[in-house]
Amino acid sequence: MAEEIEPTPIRKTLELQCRKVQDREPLKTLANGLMIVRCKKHEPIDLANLSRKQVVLRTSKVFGSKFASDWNLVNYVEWIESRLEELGWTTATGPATDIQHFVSPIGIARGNAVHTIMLRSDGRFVHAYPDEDAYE
Amino acid sequence: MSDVIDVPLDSESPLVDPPIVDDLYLNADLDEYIITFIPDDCVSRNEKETVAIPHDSEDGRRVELRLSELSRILGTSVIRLFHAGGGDFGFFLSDGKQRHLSDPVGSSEASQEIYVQLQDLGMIAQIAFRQEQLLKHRTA
Repeated sequence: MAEEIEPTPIRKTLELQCRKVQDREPLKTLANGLMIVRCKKHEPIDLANLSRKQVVLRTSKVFGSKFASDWNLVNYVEWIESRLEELGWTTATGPATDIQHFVSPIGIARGNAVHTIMLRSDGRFVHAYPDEDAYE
Repeated sequence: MSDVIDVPLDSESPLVDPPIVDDLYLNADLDEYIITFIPDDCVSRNEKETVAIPHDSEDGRRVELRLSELSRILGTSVIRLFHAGGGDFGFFLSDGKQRHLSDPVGSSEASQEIYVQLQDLGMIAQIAFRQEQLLKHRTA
């Protein structure tokens, strides 16, 4: 994220609680019924010891694009919740997507550093993931 | 997410190819299957697309049949399934538990049968999406 938030003890506790949530289960259920879900396949991985070919594969559509390591689950939930408020999405909105561009890289997709986050709601479950910078 | 997840590096190629179901469940309020899927690049370069398939439609019955098959193979009712990355999939079961294809239970034959159903579901979603796009294009 552009501004890394110093993890306070409360945020550390929240992060630990988030990490107990199973894949695709709600990290937070909003008052309007939308559920922000965990999506493990887009979470950061250690790319340090991977070849270029392996990085491309592990951040492909099949393995899932990956957030940069500074995107912890607490930040992820807060960012999505804030964006949903701005967009005014509810369960009545139905399937919807939103694209946000960042100045700094937020993750890797198909082996490339990307600055774009795709927010996706299917009308009940909401998640976000790094996407290619090709939606200008 | 600052703690990294250990990923197996022994596999150089994925076990599955798009179209892949990313998330599928029946929205009982709308009586529709909501399917988010990973499309083939020739259909959409986007990482994911979403389609809604009415339960009481030809495609809906196809989806229901595959879900029934998955439930039969897994021995318990599947109410939602999702892609966990690479060749792994997760299943939400009616008893509230979650099972993964990568769990060390079940035979390789069962895994192969599950993959066949999952491939069919991915294809059903992609065809429905393509159909929707064509109709939009025609009416535009």
